Amino acid sequence: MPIDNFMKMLLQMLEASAVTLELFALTLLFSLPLGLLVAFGRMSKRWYIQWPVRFYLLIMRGTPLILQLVFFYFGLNALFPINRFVAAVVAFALNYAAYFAEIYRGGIEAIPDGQREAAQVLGFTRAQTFGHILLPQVIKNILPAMGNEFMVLVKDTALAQAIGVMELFRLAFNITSREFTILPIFVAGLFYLIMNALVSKGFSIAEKKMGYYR
Amino acid sequence: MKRVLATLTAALLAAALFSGCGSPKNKEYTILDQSLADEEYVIAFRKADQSLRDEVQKTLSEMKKDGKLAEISNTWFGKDNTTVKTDFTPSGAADDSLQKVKDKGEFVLGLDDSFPPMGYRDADNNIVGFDIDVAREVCSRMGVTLKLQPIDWDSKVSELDGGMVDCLWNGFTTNPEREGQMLMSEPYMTNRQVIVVPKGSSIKTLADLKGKTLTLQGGSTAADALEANPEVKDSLKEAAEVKNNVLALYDLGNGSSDAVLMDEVVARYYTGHQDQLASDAKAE
Repeated sequence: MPIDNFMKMLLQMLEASAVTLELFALTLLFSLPLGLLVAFGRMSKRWYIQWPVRFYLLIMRGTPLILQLVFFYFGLNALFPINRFVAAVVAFALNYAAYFAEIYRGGIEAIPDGQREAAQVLGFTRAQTFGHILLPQVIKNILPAMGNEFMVLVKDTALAQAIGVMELFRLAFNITSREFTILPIFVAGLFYLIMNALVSKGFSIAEKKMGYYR
Repeated sequence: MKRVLATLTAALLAAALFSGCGSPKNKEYTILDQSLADEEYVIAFRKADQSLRDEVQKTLSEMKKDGKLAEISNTWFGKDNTTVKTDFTPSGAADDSLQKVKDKGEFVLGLDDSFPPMGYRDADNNIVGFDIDVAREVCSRMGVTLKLQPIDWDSKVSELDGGMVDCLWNGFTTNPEREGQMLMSEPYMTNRQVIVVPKGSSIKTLADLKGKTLTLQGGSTAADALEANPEVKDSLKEAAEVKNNVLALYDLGNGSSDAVLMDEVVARYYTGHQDQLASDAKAE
């Protein structure tokens, strides 16, 4: 592969990484809050809330993400025209919200009842108890599990090519066909590695910051 | 952090150093005279879009007549490879598909942008290729803009039926099954499913494939051609399906396979006319 084509490829991969990061950021923006709502629904004692949420969790975690992408893009397009990238964000956000919900639930249920009871005795409202007493402890407990999901998400963005989103991995494969060498795939691997090294570093910092009382 | 960066930079440089090494490009290949199947490339439209198909077909015939098609073929293949007929009989269908495209002002072409030399990305990431040049000329004669839409080739039928693209035009091989699903143009080029072997290989004919490993792109027409030739398929030791033709040729290059089955047009791009068809030559 000629060296100037190689340099051009690096620049194009940088641009494609922006698509990957955009998909990553938008997915988190929607799935992190949505996951919390779903977690509350899953913990609800009302059957008409808990059962549909359980069903949603089963579907989202029980079918391949690539299938969900195809379903949302081609399915929604039958109803109204939808942009490829938007469909990808919808599918990723709904899928990741399901995993986040279960992580939140694990974190919330791991907190001893004594914490809630003590807050009640001290006169905190339910909202205050959750926001000021429980949530900080939940976040601390779920950070390692969330770190896993974030890193998987960076790599999962490659699946968006199934509905024609031009992301990093698709670009790498295309260059492979033109240049007749599989080198671009390994270089793309380095780009994913750099992105995930940053995500991983971010989580170490967060864990250190949250490491009070230790 | 500094150390991480240093390691990554070193890895990148090492990767750059190894570029070219081990590439199947440096090896020499032979294409067997005997082929597995003769095929024809067509443009696929939605079943109902008769008037759109007629207009494109009519324009192609005009381009064949005035030599434009030969000119484009010459730049890509060094000769006129096209089989378009100069006479054209319209079907007389009067649906609104052509009008819709004209109202929209754009004609959306769905392609797998990794299929050189028909449609692929050049070094600047622009989509180029023989099909692209022809489609661009057809669109300019029809008075609409050409919009190139890369799609996942496995979802091509859903993309077409869902209306996300107006046609599939990308070295698309016709067969009876596809003709049942889509409306095809007249064939514009012939293609064969050929066997590629390393130079000096003991494989000279299809019969020599007995007990050998054959690699091909999964889901491609090469796979269909192999299915349609059970006497060849059953004689093989193994038929391995990989993601694309480059990976198949890698398999051949490092000896894990004995032969590759692929489109002749693409095989010639990788093995013979590489320089002539290089994207840089198209830049002018």
